[in-house]
Amino acid sequence: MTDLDYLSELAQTTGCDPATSGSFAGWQWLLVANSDAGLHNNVLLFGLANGSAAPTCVAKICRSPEASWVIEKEYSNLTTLWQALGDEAAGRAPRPLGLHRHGRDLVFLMAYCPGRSWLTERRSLWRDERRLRDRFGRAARALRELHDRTATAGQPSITSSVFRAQANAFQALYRPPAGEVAELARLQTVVGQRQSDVRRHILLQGDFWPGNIVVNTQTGRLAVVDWQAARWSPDASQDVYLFILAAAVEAAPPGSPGQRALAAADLLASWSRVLIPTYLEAYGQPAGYALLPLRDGLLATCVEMATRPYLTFGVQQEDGLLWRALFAELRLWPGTQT
Amino acid sequence: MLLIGSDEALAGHLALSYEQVTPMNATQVVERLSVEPAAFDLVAIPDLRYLLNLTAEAQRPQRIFGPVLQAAHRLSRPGGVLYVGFGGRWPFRRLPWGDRQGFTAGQVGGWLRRAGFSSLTYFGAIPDHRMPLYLFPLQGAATGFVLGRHLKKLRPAWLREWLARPGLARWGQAWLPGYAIVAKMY
Repeated sequence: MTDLDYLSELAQTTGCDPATSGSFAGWQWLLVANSDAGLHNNVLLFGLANGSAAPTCVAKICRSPEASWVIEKEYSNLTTLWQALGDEAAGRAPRPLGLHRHGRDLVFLMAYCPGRSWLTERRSLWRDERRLRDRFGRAARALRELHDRTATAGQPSITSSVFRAQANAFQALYRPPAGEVAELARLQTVVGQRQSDVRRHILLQGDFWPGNIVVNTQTGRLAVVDWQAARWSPDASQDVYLFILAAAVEAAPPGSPGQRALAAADLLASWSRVLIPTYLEAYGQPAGYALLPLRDGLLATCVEMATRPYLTFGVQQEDGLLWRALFAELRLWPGTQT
Repeated sequence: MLLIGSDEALAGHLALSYEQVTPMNATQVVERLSVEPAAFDLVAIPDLRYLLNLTAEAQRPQRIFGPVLQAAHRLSRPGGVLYVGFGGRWPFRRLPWGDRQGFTAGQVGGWLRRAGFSSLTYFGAIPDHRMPLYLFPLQGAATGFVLGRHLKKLRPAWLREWLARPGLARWGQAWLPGYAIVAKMY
C-alpha cells in the first residue's frame, strides 16, 4: 500500500465522502507545497473523492517528522475551537477529522473550506479604500466573534513572559540600536500593565492575515484557516494588529525587506486616518481581555513576527528582516498613540 | 530511499530526516547494479534531464535512460515506488520558443514500461518539476482545480473559470511545464 492509498483509506474511513462508503479506490490527491521548502514547513494534500471538481478534505503533513508537533498543536487548537463553538464553527474554521500516525509522520486530516482567499483579489484592491473598508470591517467582526465565543474566565498569565522572550530574541537576532532597545523595554512594561486587570482569556488564532481568510463564494461567510500558531491568551492584540500589518505588507510593492517595510509603513500612515479606526471600531472594545493601543500593538506584533520562526523552530526566515525593518519604521510613527 | 541525481541541497535536506540517502549520477547507478541489494522503498529521480547532462550522448536519451531505469527497477524492493520528475515539452517544439529539452509524459512512460515498470501514475507539476508548488494527478477534475487556484488572479473571472473546466483542463494537460510519474513495484 502506498502513502496515497493510506490517505485514501483514511479519508474514506473518516467519512470525508459518505457517498462512496466502502471504496477508496476513486480518491485523487494533489499536493500543494505550503510556504517555502524549509523542513519545518508543511505540505498539504487535497483529496478529491471520485472525480469531484473540488476537494472534500485536506491532509496536512510536516516535511520533517521532527517538526510534527506543530501539526499536533494545530489539531488540538482546532478541536478546542470546535468544542467551544459547537456546530456554529461550521463554515468558520476547518473541521478537524483526525490526527493519525503513519510511520514516523503525523497526518492531520481536516475538512476542506471551499471558497477564495482574499489574496486572489487583484492588486487594485489595496488602492480602493471603499472596498478595503468593507473587507476590514468584515474581518474585524469575524475575528471579534471568534474571540468572544472562545473567551473563558480566568487568566493564564503567560503573555508578558512570552513577550519578554520575544523581546530578548529580537535583541539577540537583530542587535537593535539603543532607541529600539528602550522601546522594547517600554513595550514589556505596557504589555504587563495591560494584562494585570484581565478577567478572561481567548483562543488567539495567531496568524490572522488576509491569506488565511477564505470567503465562501456561496454563503459569503468568512472562514479562517491555518491554526497552528493559535494559543490561549489574555490579549487580543496579536490577531487584531497582524491583520492590519500583513495587509499593508501585502499591498507594498516588491523590493528589499527595507523597501517593503518603508512602503508598508507609509500605507499604514495613510490608513490610520479612516481605514484603521473603522476596523478597530468594527472590532469594538474587548470584553474582559486586553487590547494594546494601536502603536504599541503594531510594534509588539512586529516583534513577535520577527522572532517567531526562531523561537518556534530555531530558524531565521527572510521575512524576519521585513518585520524587523517595519518595527524600526513604526517606532518613528508619530501621533498615533491612543 | 535512493536519490539519483546531483541535487546536493536536496540530498542534504533529506539526510536530516532520512538515513539512506545515496546521491549518484547515471554512470554510478549503472556501475552499482550488481552490488546494491534490491532494498529501496523509494527510488527518486527528481530531474530526468540531469542524467543527460552527464553524458555526451544527450541527443540519444534512450541510451542513457534505459540502463538507469532498469537499474532503478532492480534496486526497488517489491512494494517500493519509483518517482521520476521531468520538464514538459512544448507541443509546438518546432517553433522558435519551443522547449526542446523536455519530454512528453507518454515518452517517459514508454521508457519506464520498457524498463519493466507496469503500474504508472502520471502527475502534472506547476510551476516546474524541480520545486513544484502543485503536484497533481493528470485527471480532469484535479487539473481544473489546480488551474483555478494557479490562475487565481486572472481576470475576467469567467475566463479563469472557463480555462479550469475539466474538459478544457484535460486538453491543457499536454502543455504543462513539468510532470512526474510514480511507478509501483510488484
